[in-house]
Amino acid sequence: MPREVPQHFTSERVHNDMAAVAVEFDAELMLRVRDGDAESFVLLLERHRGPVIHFLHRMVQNQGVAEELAQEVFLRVYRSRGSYEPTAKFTTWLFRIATHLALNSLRDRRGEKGHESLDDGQQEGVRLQVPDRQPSIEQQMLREVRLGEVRQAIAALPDKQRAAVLMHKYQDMEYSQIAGVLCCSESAVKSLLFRAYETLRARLAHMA
Amino acid sequence: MGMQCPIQAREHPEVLLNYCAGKLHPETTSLLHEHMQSCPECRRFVKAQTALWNALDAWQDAPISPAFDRRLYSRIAGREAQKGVFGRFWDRMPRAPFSSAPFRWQPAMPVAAACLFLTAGVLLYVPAGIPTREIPVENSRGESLAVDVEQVERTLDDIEMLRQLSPAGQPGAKSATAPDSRNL
Repeated sequence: MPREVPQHFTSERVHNDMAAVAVEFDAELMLRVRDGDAESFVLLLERHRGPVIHFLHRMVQNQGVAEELAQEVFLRVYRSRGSYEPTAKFTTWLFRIATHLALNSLRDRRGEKGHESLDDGQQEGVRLQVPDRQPSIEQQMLREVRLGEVRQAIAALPDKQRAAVLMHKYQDMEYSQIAGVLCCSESAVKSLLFRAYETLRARLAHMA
Repeated sequence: MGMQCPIQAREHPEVLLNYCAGKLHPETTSLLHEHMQSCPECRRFVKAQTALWNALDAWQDAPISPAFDRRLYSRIAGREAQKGVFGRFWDRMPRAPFSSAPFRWQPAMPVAAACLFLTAGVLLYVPAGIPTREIPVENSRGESLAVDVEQVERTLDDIEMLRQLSPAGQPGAKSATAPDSRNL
């Protein structure tokens, strides 16, 4: 009697297959870029522009700086096309460059006064959080306050913990991939995430 | 068989995080559900982590500047133009044989330093067998002095010239440059 395959195993396999195809596709595109195919670079940019900019934005909490850093990320990808070898996952390599640049930028800006980013984000929050059904002024203000608190809580995390949380929560990355980006072991990533979420739960407990 | 408490078994803290993120394997999920019925600590953890997960959802993606791609392409074009003929030539330079690895500067630096050191050594080296142009002389106190041959020759010439200029070439004449005031 044939055993029926459970639904979740089928969907998991489909998901894994799709992920594998995406990985191969990125590597294939990058190899084509290496061989001088500009169209493939356009496709790569199309696929990864959003995730990289959003990640950088949450890291440095300033959209202008995030876009500037993202430009540098893609410029570096283009510059290193000649030496590209598909030994690691393309997104791991991409986010490693992005994280490196973000951490450098944070270190450079740490001493600067007048950290304008949070004000910047609150305006952005107003623009982004308005759904089709117009919320009341009180609801809007409450959302702004909550968003500000979330941003501040994330900004207060140590750099590596912040990068790990952003990749885990918003980029939906696996532990192994985050470990590849941060150049540490998988167990170190789990520990980083556990401590980071512990801190965030304590800081944002009043929002529960 | 029931599940071991993920909080007490510190080696598996990610089980609860994965559960709250909706990434836990369905089989493990049902085991965790069963465990949580008898574990208030895990229930508390899941409640707090789910609330945090939802709170973090408030931070949505910001819109990207429409000029982003254009700026990037113009930077790439600018760089390509800056590279010019030399850059394109460099790009096409053959790499190390049987390898597609790019040329790296790091191994070349010690070799360059060694070449520089050898060149400096060759330029500064003076063989011991070649005599110098200095001759040892002694002063009145018997101290050894190094005097240049040319300098001695020039001095002898000057003395000879002064001797010719002095009246009647007397050896007792004082000096041609400081004539005796009695002769004026």
